[in-house]
Amino acid sequence: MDGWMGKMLRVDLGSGEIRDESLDPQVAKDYIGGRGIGIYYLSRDVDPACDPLSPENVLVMAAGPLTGTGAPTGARYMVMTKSPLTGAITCSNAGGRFPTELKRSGYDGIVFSGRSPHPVYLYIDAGQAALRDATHLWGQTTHETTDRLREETDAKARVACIGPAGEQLVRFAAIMNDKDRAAGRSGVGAVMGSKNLKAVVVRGQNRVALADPARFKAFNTQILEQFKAAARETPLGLTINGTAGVVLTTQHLGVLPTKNWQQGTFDGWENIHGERLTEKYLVSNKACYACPIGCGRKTRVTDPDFAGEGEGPEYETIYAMGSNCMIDNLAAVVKANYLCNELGLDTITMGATVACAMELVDRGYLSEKVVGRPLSWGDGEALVELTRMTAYREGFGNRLAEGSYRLAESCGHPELAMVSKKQEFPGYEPRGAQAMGLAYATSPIGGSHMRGDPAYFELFGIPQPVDPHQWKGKAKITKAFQDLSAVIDSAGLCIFFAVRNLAGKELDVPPIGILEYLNAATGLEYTLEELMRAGERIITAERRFLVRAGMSRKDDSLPRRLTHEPMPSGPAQGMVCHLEEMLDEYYQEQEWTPEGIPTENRLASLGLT
Amino acid sequence: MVRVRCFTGMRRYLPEGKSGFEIELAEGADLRRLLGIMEVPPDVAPFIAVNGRKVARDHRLRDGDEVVLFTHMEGG
Repeated sequence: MDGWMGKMLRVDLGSGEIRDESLDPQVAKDYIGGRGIGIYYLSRDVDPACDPLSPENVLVMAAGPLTGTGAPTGARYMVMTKSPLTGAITCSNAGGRFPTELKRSGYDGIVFSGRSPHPVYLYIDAGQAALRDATHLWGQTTHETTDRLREETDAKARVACIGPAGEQLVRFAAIMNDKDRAAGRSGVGAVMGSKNLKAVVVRGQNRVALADPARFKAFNTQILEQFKAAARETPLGLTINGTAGVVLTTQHLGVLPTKNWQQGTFDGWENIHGERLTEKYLVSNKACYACPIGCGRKTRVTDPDFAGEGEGPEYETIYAMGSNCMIDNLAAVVKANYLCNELGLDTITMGATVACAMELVDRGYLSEKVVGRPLSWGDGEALVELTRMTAYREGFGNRLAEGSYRLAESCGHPELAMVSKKQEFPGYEPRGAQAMGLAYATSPIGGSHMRGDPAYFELFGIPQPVDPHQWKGKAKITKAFQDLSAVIDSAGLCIFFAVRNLAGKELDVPPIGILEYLNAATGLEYTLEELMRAGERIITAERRFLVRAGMSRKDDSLPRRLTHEPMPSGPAQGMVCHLEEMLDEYYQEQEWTPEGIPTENRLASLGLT
Repeated sequence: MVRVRCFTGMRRYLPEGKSGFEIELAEGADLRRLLGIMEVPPDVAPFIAVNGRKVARDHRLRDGDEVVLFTHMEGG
């Protein structure tokens, strides 16, 4: 097989047995890789009703056929498992260098099952895999673990690991690779922790074989030249200010979630937007493997209260820990971000859970005595301290470690958790960006924008501007973007490059550029229709898993605040999100029943019966 | 008097060293007129907000308006 390495590594952590499994070429074609391969294995090997933190759960790490090929942003892998935060699946995606090295070590992915009796790490060196004792690493931060493992194995090895938060089974613990890249969402780190798996270390010299190197190179040159010419014309915001630049857009469209989603604009926005980050704290850009954008931020803070050095923050972190907590001290946000990276926490859920706690205190549903410290809007010091306590489940951190839904529910007010399927939202207000509400409600991982990102067409005008306040017709476009994202995520590419440069310019966004890359790399000659069907197959297989786990329309929900309480001020003033109307249209587009269940015909047409 | 502020890629159309400026425009002038005075090429399509709301180039400006211009940001 070209593009793919052609084999998966199966690791039974209970027995310690490790074996290679050939990647079935038909499965590879039908599910592409990464996210698609992940749902294929979860559907086959996991009981959707299982306890996510039990040995019965399976954790899949999978790269895509374009990962490590040199295709722009072909640097990514996906972590798929049943989530301890949501009870649905995870699709936690990360770039950096680890995913490419995973392929160079000889594998498309790894499937972990069972639970090790003691802490271990997996080391793959050029096709030879072994489990090694990790007792000495337990309790160490992700940075310490990475340094130590590279000393122990190979200075050029790449490491994905958990920090104390994963060990403590924090429901939103992340898996960090290359120290500061995060497979961040939905608690994948807690699943690793529950399996006593501290880290995965990979090293290899294999090259990813290409079916037609000349065709691949010619297309790659053409795409990169187009990208560079466009960037010369209009310098790319992502390169200059990272994703943090998005604060400008969301603030001025009135969709910057503020005060636990009570407002859509933040008076302190000028202190936390991307230009401020660049001016005050940026050391240098950092790009993932084969990425021409370089949106990563290496930063340094010298303010003695929040001093540190590391990577970030992203826009989502700035919303969750900044405007959402009414914190306009960017240094505090950056410091909390560093702690999340080092301790292995998802910054979105961390910030959103602190914001929820602030509202619970503000309304008198939670006492500061229980919190153990003052907790009011805008308190950056509290954010930093509570982040640290959460990772170790120390004091009130033990309550925060359960995420905002369980915290708010335990205080008698679950409606104050800003979640879908118990997962906290990223930073775009559905009252002023209607399709975003539909995307949150129907994402297979709960509150997320990355599995079909309507911000592109509603907020950024890519490939064409669409009125963010109108709900009619949004279901069709949202489905098209979800299908596109399934292809991007499965191929091993990054949405930041692919949506703009490798998809059609109409709103049905066919993955035309990805098609050419895949065909040159794999030689399989997908038709455009086959590739789009693969995207639909992946989305529908994920939905089938959720349905088997007991989910349906009732779980495709938004908090009442977004659907019934009009936005109080700003450009989206007076608006609510019209979710139920959009859901009716959406299920029809998907050929699901009005209850959100894929029909037998739909499953059969995609080969899922 | 209209107050204009620029961010990111639109800063290049500001007077040297300034983050914004104030300008007196003729009655009924629209954004197209303002962008023309600033010498923004017609193919540059910035995000334009007036008094916190996104508007198009044919939006007419009024005395006291606050205009914010920036090149599109994306990602997240």
